[in-house]
Amino acid sequence: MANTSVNGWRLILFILFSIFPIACFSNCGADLVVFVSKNGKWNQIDGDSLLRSGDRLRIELETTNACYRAFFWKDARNQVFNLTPKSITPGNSNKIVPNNLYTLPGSGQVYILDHSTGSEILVMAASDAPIANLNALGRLISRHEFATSSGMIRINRYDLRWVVLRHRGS
Amino acid sequence: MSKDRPAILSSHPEQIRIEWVHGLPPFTLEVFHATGNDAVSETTDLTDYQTIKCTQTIGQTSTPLRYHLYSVSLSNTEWAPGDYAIYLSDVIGNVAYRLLTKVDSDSPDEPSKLSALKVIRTLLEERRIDGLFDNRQLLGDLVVAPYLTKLLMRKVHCSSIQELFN
Repeated sequence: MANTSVNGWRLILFILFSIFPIACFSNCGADLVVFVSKNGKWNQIDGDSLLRSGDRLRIELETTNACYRAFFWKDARNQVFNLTPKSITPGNSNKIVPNNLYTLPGSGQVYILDHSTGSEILVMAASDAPIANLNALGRLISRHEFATSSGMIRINRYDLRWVVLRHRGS
Repeated sequence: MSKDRPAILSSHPEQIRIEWVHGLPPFTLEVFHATGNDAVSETTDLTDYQTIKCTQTIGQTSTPLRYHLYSVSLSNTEWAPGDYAIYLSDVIGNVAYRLLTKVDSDSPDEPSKLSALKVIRTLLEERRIDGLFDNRQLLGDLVVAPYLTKLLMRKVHCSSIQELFN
């Protein structure tokens, strides 16, 4: 009887993971949306979008759950920058509220692409536990190969969601 | 070290010196052979710095600026000639990345500190950075260096910092 019950639960879990593979990650849902300014208008762009030096970007993070988060930019020179907005890190806690929209860099400012061409990779890290070691997370991102134009992967206890922008010069 | 091209290490100091500004301590420095996943060197909890004073000139206005110049020395005697990836990370996960090529120099004569100073001065005048890293290695710890060496290297550091923002 007990075995039947356990097998039943295994079957349900198997079906759930087959239908909703994202459930294998933590419950840290969020959208990472990138906008580029063209001729004075802001246009949403996808992974693999082509960008030029001097392009002006802003990023929106829309959350669906309360989780601990950090946001990184791995540039074309393989340098990693922690760009987590201060509004996400009150009192060094990276937990953000659900259903909220965070704009980066914020305060009406924009990111402007420099002259280094290559892949600009935006990485949002999320965890249901506090991100205590940002140094290790930054090093993990710096050495990780983000092979596809966008995606999500779980490494250690972090869900990493990324978008790759192709920077093709001026 | 150049941001785009690998720095060359062809002189044979037993210690190599890496210096940087910006970032939040403590820092971690890792060195990987370019083709491998195992770190050949890892140094953690780096906090030591000297303060350098630079002058930023915009138009006719000069502004004095102070920077914390962090540094670390690494033994490279076990490193075979080849390419190495250097990862320098700070406490909040910012990571700087550079490539370093160690060359097996045939020259038995170690360049002197005096010739290194001459090369560095020439590179500074010509606003070039190739060879800067290699020759800087020969000058050793600036804390115990002669006054003129300190003065020249302060110019190099200030010039490099200025380059970062151009």
